[in-house]
Amino acid sequence: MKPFKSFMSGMNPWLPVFLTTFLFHVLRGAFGDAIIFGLACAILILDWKKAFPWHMPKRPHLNKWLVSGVMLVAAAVLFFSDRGGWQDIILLLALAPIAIALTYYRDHGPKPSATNVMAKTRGLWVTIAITMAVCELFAYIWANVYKDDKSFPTISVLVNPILESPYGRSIFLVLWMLIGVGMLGIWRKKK
Amino acid sequence: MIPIIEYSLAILGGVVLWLWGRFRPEQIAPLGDLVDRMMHHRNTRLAVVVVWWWLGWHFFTV
Repeated sequence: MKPFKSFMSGMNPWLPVFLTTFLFHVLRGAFGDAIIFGLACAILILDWKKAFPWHMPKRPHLNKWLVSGVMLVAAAVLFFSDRGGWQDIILLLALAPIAIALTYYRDHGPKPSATNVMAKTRGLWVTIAITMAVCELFAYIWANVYKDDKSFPTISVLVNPILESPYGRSIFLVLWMLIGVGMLGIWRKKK
Repeated sequence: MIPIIEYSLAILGGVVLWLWGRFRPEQIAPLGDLVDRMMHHRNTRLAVVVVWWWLGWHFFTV
C-alpha cells in the first residue's frame, strides 16, 4: 500500500477527469477528441512525474500590443480561410504549445482570498458549469436516441451556423483568445 | 427547445453571478479573483488551458 501511495503522491487531480473524458470520446467514436485528451493525459502524467526539465520563471507579462497583434492575425486567418481548413489547423496547433508554455511559471505563496465568500462563489460557479455540462450531455444523448438534433441541440449544433460565417468565426476567435489571455493573466499586473 | 431554455438559464445565471460579484464583492467574489485563485496552482492551470484549447479546436477546426 505504501509504494502505491508514494507513487500516486502529487498526482494532478484533473488526471482522472481527463482519463474519463478520453474514454468517453473513444466510446462515442470521436477519435480526434480522444487523441487530444489522450495527449493531455500524457502531458499531465509527464508533468506529475517531473519529466519536463522546466526552469520555472516568474509569471510572464506579455505586451498588450503583441497579444492584440497575434489576435488580429489569428482572426484574419480564420476570416480568410474555410472553416476546418489547413490554415485553421496549423493556427490552432501553433497556439497549443504557446498556451501550455505560458502555464509554466512558479506558484507563489498561499492561494489568494481563501474566504467563505470565495468558497460560496466557487460553489455557485461550479453548479452553473455542471448544469451546463449535464444539459449538453442529455441533449447529446436524446439527439442520438431520437435522431433529432433540432429538438435536442447541443451547443455545437447551435453555434455551428455562426461559425460557418467568416465574421462569426473571427469574433468567436477573438472572444476565445481573450478568455485564454484573461485566465492566464498574461497582460495584467498581479495584485 | 428544452435544451435551449436550459442553456439560456445557465448563461443568465453566469451573467447574474458576474454582475453580482462586480457590484457586491462582499457577497459574491468578483470573477477575476476567482480565476486568480483557480489559476494559482500549475495543476489547474494546465488542465484549464487544455480544456480552453480543446474548445477552440472543437469549434474552429471540426
